[in-house]
Amino acid sequence: MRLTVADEGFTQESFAAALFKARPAVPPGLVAGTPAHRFEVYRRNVQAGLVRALEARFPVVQTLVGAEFFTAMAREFVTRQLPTSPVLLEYGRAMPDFIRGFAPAAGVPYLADVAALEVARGEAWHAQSLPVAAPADLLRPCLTDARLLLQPALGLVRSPFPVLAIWEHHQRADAPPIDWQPQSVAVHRQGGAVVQEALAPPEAAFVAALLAGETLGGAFHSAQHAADGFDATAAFAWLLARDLVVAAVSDIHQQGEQDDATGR
Amino acid sequence: MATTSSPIGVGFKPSHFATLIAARQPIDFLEIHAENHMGPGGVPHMQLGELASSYALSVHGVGLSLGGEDAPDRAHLARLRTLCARHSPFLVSEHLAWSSHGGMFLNDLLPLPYTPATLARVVNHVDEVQASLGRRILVENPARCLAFAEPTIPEPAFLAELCRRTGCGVLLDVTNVLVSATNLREPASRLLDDMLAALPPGTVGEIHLSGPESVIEPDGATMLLDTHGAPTPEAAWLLYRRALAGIGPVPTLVEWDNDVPDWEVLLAEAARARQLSATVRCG
Repeated sequence: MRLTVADEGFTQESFAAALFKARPAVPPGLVAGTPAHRFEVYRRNVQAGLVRALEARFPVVQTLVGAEFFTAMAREFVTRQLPTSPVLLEYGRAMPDFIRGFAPAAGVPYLADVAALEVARGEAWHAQSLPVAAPADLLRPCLTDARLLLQPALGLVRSPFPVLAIWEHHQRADAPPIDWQPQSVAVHRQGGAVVQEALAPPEAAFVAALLAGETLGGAFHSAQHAADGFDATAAFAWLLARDLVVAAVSDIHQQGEQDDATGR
Repeated sequence: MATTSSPIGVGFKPSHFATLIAARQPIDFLEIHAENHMGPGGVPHMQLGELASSYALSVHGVGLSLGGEDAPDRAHLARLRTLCARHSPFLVSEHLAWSSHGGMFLNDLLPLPYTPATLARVVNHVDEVQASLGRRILVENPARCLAFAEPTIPEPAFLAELCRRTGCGVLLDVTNVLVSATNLREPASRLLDDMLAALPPGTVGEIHLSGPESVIEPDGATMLLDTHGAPTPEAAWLLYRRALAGIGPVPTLVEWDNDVPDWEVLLAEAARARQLSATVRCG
């Protein structure tokens, strides 16, 4: 049977599909005799551009596995998950989950959590900065019944590995030796700088509960049950000192008022 | 007719931010890639706010997929509208290409056959974008390396008709003229002259200059890749002079996106454009 592919006209569908074929052929509709390397220009640009976007977002992951491994892994990610938006700074959020399921990376068990830390750093870099709650807004009865709205920049990575120590080890030569203990890391932004801080287990449980939308009292409760030695005052002060509390919201009605206030 | 110098700009790279803010640099505008500033906020927004207080801005998009089969992504168009409302750029430009298909962003400026059907489609998309933004946009001629089997309209005629039907302008990338002409085996000066002759007066709203990469093809011929990673070659400067002689001063941008050089190197390229645009006489 003769293939009649060459007789088909150009379509964006066939051109786009050919960009991701493992063994590319020249897609239909190009002028006769178009050499394959001309089409390869686009195929390479598309793949290399997306891999570059991931390299920019995951520099430490790349260092941990080496450029060659990273490129192969990133290509696999690109093949499975093309961006759905032209805003590539959002691309790669799913990389930590992808790495968890990527068998060749199984030998580096902390890789996915380092990727999660790098995702959190990227989110903090691009996050909106909201006005900080005035002290008077927080001096209210039943504050523990309120949910705290936190700065969008705040993220938390909880890992059974010393994920921050590993990350720091790739930032500067004089980083302390890695103590192989679990680490939870809060990532946020102070002015124009993204910062990350290791949190003790109860503080991490506290921040995780707040980020999950629990009330302040509920978060205190979660933290106390997570581990011994939780200092509720210190944990709350930690949030305030970093300007991370945007508002305290007691119910749906006040949520509406808050939206009105920030919308002005 | 005496000429005045064109406004000269460079593409903004974050590595140059500190230099741009420490002291007012001798450039007239900065061009930003729209999609790099479409996050919710954070440091990129803060930086852009600071830059906008010292420099005029031009917004250059790569994500609208004007040549795509799908209509422009409404969410993306809304982001572009927000960006333009926030920073009031004096120019907004996009490409005569497609970069999305079937809801996926393909991250490249993919080639479009120039036919009556694709012209009608691009006209609709440009109309929609201009209506949404409430302003004229410039559409850039792409760097081409493929030719299509079906009969096509010459690029100058296609762009001219797009301008006539939509009121849009053209971002004339003279390096892309050089790249396309070299790759499609025609004289670059002829493609440029055809472009200048075809485009209605006043439609070229900006000129781009950049450095392509040269590769040798299996048949020994030279092919150019539009890599924005090198100084503007002499052949592109010649086309720039020719364009200035034809249409007079136009805002001119030096693009350098890969292997970004030190600020002084970029500034020297901008200075050369300024010097040329001040000396070439129109007509």
